[in-house]
Amino acid sequence: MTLPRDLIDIYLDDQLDEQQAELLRDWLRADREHMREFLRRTSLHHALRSELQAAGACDRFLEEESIPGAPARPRSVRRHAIRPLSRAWQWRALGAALAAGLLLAIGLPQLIARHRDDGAIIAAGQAQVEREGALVTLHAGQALRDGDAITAERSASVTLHFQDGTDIVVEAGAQLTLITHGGSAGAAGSSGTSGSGKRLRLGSGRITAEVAKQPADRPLIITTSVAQATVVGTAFTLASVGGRTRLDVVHGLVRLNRTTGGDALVGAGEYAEAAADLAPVARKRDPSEIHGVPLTVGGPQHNQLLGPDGRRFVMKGAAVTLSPASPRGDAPPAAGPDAAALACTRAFTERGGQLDAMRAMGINTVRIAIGGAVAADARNGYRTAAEGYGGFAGYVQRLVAYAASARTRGMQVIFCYGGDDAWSNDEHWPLYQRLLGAVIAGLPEDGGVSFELIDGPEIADQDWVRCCTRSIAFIRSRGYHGPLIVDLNHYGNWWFAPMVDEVARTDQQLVFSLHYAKWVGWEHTAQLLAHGADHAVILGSIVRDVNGDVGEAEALAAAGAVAELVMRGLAVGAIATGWNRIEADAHPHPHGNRMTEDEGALRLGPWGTGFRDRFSGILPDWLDVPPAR
Amino acid sequence: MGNGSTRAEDTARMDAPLSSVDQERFTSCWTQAQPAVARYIASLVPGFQEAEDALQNVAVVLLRKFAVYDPQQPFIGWALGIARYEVLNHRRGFARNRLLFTPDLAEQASEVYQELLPELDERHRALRECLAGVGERTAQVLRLRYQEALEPKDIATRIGMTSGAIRVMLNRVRGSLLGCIERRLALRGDGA
Repeated sequence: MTLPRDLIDIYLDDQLDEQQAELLRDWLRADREHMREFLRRTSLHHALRSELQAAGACDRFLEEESIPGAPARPRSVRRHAIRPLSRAWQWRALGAALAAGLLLAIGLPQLIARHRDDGAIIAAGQAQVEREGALVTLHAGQALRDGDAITAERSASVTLHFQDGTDIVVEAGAQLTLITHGGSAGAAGSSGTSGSGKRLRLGSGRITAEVAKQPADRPLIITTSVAQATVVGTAFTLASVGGRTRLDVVHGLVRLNRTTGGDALVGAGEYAEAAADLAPVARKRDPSEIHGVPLTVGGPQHNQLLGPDGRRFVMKGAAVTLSPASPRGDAPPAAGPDAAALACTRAFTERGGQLDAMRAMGINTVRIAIGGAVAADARNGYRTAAEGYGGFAGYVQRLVAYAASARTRGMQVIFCYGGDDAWSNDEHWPLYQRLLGAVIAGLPEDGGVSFELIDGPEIADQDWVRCCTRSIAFIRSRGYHGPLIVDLNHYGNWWFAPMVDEVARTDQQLVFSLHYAKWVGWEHTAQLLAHGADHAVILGSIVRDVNGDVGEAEALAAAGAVAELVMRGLAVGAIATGWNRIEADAHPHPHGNRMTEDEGALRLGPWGTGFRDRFSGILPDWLDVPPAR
Repeated sequence: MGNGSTRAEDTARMDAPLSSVDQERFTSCWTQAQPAVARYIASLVPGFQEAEDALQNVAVVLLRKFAVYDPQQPFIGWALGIARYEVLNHRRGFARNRLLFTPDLAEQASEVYQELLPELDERHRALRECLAGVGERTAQVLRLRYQEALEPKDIATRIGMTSGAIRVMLNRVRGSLLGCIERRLALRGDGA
């Protein structure tokens, strides 16, 4: 008998009826291992209760007591009549006293110490940390101390988060020492008492930083073996490789000093290099020359994500189409599998530098279009659809390798496949299953990957729902249980209900993406979402300029409507995309473009088929993102 | 204290007040055993309030019977036995008047639970680490459910969602946390 998760969950909610109880008893009696699994699950229920109760007690204690560094708050004085306790309450009091005693003896000093010294933590990933001569492994949520030497794993980055909002990504294999986090005085706007700002030393490898505004007299300083970067508030990448240091600034201003003399003030879009024989000079970064890798760069969008309580996130993403025809916008290869194989190799293996460049620009998400574009693009030289959908040797492996490569750079990956090509085409569906199955089988174990099913305007609603539903079922059948992003476009109506039901049946986490804001009837949409609210996570996505006819006013209205859905608990957030194209966009918007280079947008180079500016999304931290398998 | 005594002798001992030495000994034993007993009772009685009431009753009974406890036997086993008896004996007192565990299952649960104790402690430690990675919204629902002990329908009212959505969310969170715990335990196993 399989594990009756549903019954155990109902049991934990204390809602089991007698018939369900009998089923669960039968299961428990069938195998002693069943009882073990049951106790593991029910113990989690209790452990959560005890952990969160203890955390609540500590929070209340910290609020009541004046903890150094915590904001002062008025303390109210409440008077209670003193009454004798009942016997049960005497026992509760004894239990509480014992618990409080244990907390005071063991937990609370640590908690307070952490509160006081909460300068920097590991926000994501794990790292080997050399601390006071010993080597320890720290995971997400654990605090760093001054003097910690942090080494990211060889295959994954680690993100550090400082109390003032500064984030530093230590790339795979890089080594960074936290000399001092600058104390609470390092926080923006604080009066400060420590007298020094954050001090870091980059031993080797690469870091990418998004630095909150630092006090002018206490800048963040990062040293390498040959240079020192002084930062007041900006986003940049610093790399130290073989005695050579390179600084790429995304926005803001960073001073790079060479230890042996010479300095440069490096601004947005500029870079400087320093070495023993090379004094730093600020140079304009040319995307086509970054790291010597020919590159076609679209406009990575800095999408605003509106979360619950009005929290805003900025997503920085870019979409890529890993088609063999798209290495650099070269002339199409000659037809035939050999030429296609050659092009394919180039398309994937030469992308490492491009990913590095994207990361240097602050892009944290790649959305990879798979399948359809490959098969449909005549320049790829496929002779048959089977070649295009995975029959072509090496395509899937390279696709998966590319995703892994992006993950090792700390980037989220979204595999998207469009409804207007493969999965809604019954003839191609068996072939597409091969491709998709192979991709799922090769996904990295660490999560960070999601799938997106995108619609095409030429597909009839019912066909789309039918194909989408079978696609969801197929993805699940192959062991992928992570989030799915499914577009609901302007056709959104009750035809989608069966799809929502399929999600309910399989309990898949589903992220609806609401495109084509102009045409969606919001109240109607609210009803649909309410139908699926028990089973789906809704992420509204608003596109300003779909087909060029959704203007600023409609988009703003849509943003307000989605915000209302969020407030009503029918959606967990909204993505606003397409807000920030710049004038140089190959398709200038009639209403003008909103985002300037100062705000982080990048001036476009020539578009290649391999790198397109479009929707992208990174799943925010308030969405549960289970691992890919 | 000890074996070999008659029922009447045991009753007389139980009625007599504990010496201060025994009180200290009881406090020491109970402090160590209480988390495990609480967890065991929570497995038999899923409602927080009922489980906590049951725990109080068990503590009272243990204190009263401590005079007849045989210190040669592990305290935890003795305490779990009494907890099992108390829970089964008072099943009618529970609000929903439903108890999954029949006497044979409760006994089996007690045996398996004792085998699992070291693993469950490890899992509890791993859970602390996993909780650090929980997102804000999820943390809010977890706090309402486990800190404030609200039922899903009350959480739904509080934050404007349906109770079904809350239940699904909690199920997912528990599933995710279990996965996280397994991964952490596996990592420790690899590193060992």
